[in-house]
Amino acid sequence: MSDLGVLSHHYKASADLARELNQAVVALKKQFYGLIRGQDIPAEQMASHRRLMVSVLDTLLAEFTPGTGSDSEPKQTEPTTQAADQPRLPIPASIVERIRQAHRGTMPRYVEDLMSTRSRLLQDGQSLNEKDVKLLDELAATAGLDTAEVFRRMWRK
Amino acid sequence: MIGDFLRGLFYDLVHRCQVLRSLLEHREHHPDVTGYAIQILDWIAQIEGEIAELMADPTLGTPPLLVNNLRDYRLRAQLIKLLEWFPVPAVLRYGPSDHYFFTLTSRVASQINYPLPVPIVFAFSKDYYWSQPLFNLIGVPALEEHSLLGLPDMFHEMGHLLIRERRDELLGRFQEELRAHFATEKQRVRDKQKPPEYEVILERVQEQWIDTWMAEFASDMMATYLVGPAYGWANLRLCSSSLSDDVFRPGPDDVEATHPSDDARLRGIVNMLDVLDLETDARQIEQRWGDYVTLTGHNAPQDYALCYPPSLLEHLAQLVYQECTSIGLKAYTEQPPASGDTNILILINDAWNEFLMKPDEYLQWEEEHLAELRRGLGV
Repeated sequence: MSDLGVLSHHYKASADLARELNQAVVALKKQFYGLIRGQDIPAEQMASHRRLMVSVLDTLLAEFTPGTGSDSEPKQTEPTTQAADQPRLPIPASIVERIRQAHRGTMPRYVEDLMSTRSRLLQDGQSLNEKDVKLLDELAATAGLDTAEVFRRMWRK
Repeated sequence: MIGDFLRGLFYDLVHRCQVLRSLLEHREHHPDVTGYAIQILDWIAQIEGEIAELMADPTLGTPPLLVNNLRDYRLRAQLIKLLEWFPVPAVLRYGPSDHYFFTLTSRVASQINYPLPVPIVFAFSKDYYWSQPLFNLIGVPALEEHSLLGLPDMFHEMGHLLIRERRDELLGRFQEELRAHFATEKQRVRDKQKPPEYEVILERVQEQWIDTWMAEFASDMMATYLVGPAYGWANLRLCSSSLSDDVFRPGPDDVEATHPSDDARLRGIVNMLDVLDLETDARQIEQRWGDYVTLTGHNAPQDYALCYPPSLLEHLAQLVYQECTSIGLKAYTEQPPASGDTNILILINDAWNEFLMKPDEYLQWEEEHLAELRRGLGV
């Protein structure tokens, strides 16, 4: 059997995440940098984008927080108002590993950054700073890279 | 200006969509694929709509968003390419061989109570059997039309299509169990103060299980559920044709491959045969596999079991069985004995029995039964 079937599953999962995350980051940047129509984005739409980004951060924190194990929820040392019924967002393991490798040497600091950004997203995103935007944009970039890599593997089939 | 270049790229995509649409609209399609062509046109229209929305956004090409715009472009460009490579040629070149397989698959779908639309089959694959779950498409090599022994592999591809539609039900619970298993294993590595490399291996193995191996094992198990022992024998036939260099690879030192090792896959198939209570077949296939491995001279590398824990495979077989049953798929063991219309599941297993018992006479047997099958299908 060819790899196509399994690559196709992987591609779909990565591409869906890349697309949704990029869309959320675009909306966030429009507001943060005061771009045209940035303030016209409906509040409910922004809230939905923030929920998605919080879900991504929750999944990563569960993976990267030492001692909690990958099947546990992140440590709740910051205020949280996330709906308890939000299931953990499935993120392709290859994306998690890309992020883990990129921050392997500075993981404790990176986990702190993830938690800070998560906390500010939960506070209506009003206090988000440039560093948060950069962190979220980097996650969208990683999802895009992973998608492109899987796509190239399908291309070579 | 890079912004203008990006805008040009989007215009180029719009053009490609128009060409694809035109190719499909100005052609009379075979009745098997008329609906599929409409579905492809819908996919194209959806992408065109998304591109139009992106291009109408006044922030397109502004410096803070350039990198995001490029990502948006790439995702749409990839989809257009996939349409161009897979479903569009399958429709434009649809011919008698594709029709034979579509008719065969339609009959199979009814016999196994397949809950999804019957996939379109592209009968000129250069890459053995494959599936494109994104587009409900299966690829089959040209010679398969003239044989019965390789047909079980089609059920593996149908398994991929089922996973695409019902991933959460089929694999969601197992994925969480996988995470828990590897978290425990990593803790064990720390507790026993093993070298840190072990933790890296476990992380990579977990990644492969979640992204690729889990779906591959589950598709094998679904195929076994549907077509029974014939899938195990077809797997042994495939391995014998030297598609892999070593039946124990990938192992702990090279986990990057999308497919798990042939040995582990065979174990998974045997696990499903056991769940189906087909113990005699399971032991025969296991024994023949052992003979084959001895012939190859391959040996399992150190720490091989880290990659393919037997308990995980056994548990996955049980979960796949439960989910197949719950969605109403008919197991091979539930297929009625042949009467009236040819039961293709039974026919494939009969073919394998004949091949194993009378290899010298098999080709004559196959020729007669293929002709009968064709008559029954009306193709």
